[in-house]
Amino acid sequence: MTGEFGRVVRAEWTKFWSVRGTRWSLLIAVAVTIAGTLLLASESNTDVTQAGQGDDDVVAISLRGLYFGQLVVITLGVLVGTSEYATGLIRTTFSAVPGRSLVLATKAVVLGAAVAVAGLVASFASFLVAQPLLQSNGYVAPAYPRPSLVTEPVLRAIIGSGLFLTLLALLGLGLGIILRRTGGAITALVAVTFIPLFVAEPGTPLLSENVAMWVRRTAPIAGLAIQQTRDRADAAIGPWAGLGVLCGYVVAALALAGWLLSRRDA
Amino acid sequence: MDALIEADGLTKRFGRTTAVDHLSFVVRAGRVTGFVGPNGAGKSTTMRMILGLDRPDRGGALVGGRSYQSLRTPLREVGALLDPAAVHPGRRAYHHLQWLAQSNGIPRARVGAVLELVGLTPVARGRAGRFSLGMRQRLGIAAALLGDPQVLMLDEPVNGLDPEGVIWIRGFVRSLAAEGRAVFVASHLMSELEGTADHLIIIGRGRLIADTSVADLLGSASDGSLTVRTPRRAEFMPVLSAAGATVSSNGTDRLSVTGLGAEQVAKLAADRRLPLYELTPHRVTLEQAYLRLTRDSVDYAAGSPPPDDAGKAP
Repeated sequence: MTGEFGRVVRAEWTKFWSVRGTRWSLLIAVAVTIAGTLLLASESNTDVTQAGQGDDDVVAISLRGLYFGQLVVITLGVLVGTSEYATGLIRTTFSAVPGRSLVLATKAVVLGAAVAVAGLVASFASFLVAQPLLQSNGYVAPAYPRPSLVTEPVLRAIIGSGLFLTLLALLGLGLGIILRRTGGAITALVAVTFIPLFVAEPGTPLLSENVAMWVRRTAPIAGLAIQQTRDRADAAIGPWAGLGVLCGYVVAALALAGWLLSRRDA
Repeated sequence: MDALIEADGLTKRFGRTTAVDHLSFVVRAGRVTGFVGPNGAGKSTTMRMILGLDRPDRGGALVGGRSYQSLRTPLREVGALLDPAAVHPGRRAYHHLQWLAQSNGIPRARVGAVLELVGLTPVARGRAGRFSLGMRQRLGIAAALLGDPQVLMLDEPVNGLDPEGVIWIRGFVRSLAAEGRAVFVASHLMSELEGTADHLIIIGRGRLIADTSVADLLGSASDGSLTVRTPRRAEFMPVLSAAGATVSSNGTDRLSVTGLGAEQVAKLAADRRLPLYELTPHRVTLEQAYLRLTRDSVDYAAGSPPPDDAGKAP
């Protein structure tokens, strides 16, 4: 890449990689996603006496470790946004690159690319390690034919899970810049991603079915719908529409962050 | 001489406090311009506005005739040291300079060159968090020099430096100006600028108190008095008064004489065979001249010390 954008991307890339915390965060995100998947997949079983029935989504189950990985990428995203405020480095950054939207855009590109790679590694690995485990737990044909990695819904669910992590990291970046406080931004994001996950899960008695459905359609976790590979009655929103909802939050957060950056004193 | 920094009516308010109040000045090439005022006088806020970091409520500033925001490779035009603590503690010094160089398309070779220049080559691979304040100060100066800029802005550059470092930075600042660069150095201690600055912008509570050359300030602050020491003070005082001098004594053998030149005082003493132990023109230091100036200024009411934190940015 040449030109101003390329220069600043290279600079942000150097910043991103020259701190141990970011390298470790990405490794940990991959590790806890796989570990979480193994844990949840080993707890999932189906009654073998009812073989031939059931509508569990074995692909989605094999990607559930994302619940854990998302915590790490949210933290990473927030820190990319806030750490320069904590040290005062943000002033050095803006005196080197006065275009503040340019700084935000290049941070998003670098963070997004790194988390996308880590997210794809995590979701492919999760799927591959979970499948044998699920089969030994009773998820076998004919009700549960072995899912093929390269068929449309499976590949979409896996790649989409990597994108889901990427989008959450970007949401963290946006909120980090908006709030400029690490603790506040992480707390806020964990609240908006995890609380709906628990209170609106299908079958929980906390919310009425209609409200729970609405929450799953409109909260950022609507993006998890990208993992659905079976048409189930409790599906709140289509896979891509769900990811689109999360995209909406990311675009809104980054736009607000960019607007605030251009107005605020550094 | 080229005016490389032009501030025109810069004004900045934080809530109800006016940190910088209609401040106008120019910083010219080829000399060291000291920017002096007590802590909280608005020096750092002014520098931040010049760098486009804080938005002025009124007025504006130009660097090399252009607004900072319009510069595409600002590090090649202006090098600034604002806060030496503003480094990521986990990042190695080399990488800190590397990303700065990349952001402005500065060749990588400059990173090694500026590290060498400030004497940090042996610790280039060390993490900035383990650096002493003095080492961070040097790292900040290396960053400011990275783009070989014509304008340098240094906010309290000798803070945290050991005596050797202070001497180093003074010589360094002089040599940068001698190369034709504009060097703008903020300090709350006038004594730090003694022997370094050619020109002074003095502010208090965000307002301009003086915009003067160092020579003019010293000249105006000097009252032309002489210090005279003689063991026969009581005999000499009436002689001096009769010759038209104003004489004061603090009770020792030391007299302060105004209104006569050193030659006349020496001749009067010789005529009466009075021994003189000392006869020296009274020289003011830059510090004394500064204190006299700020004491007279409306910003510092008589008897009260300069405010410490008035107008300080939150």
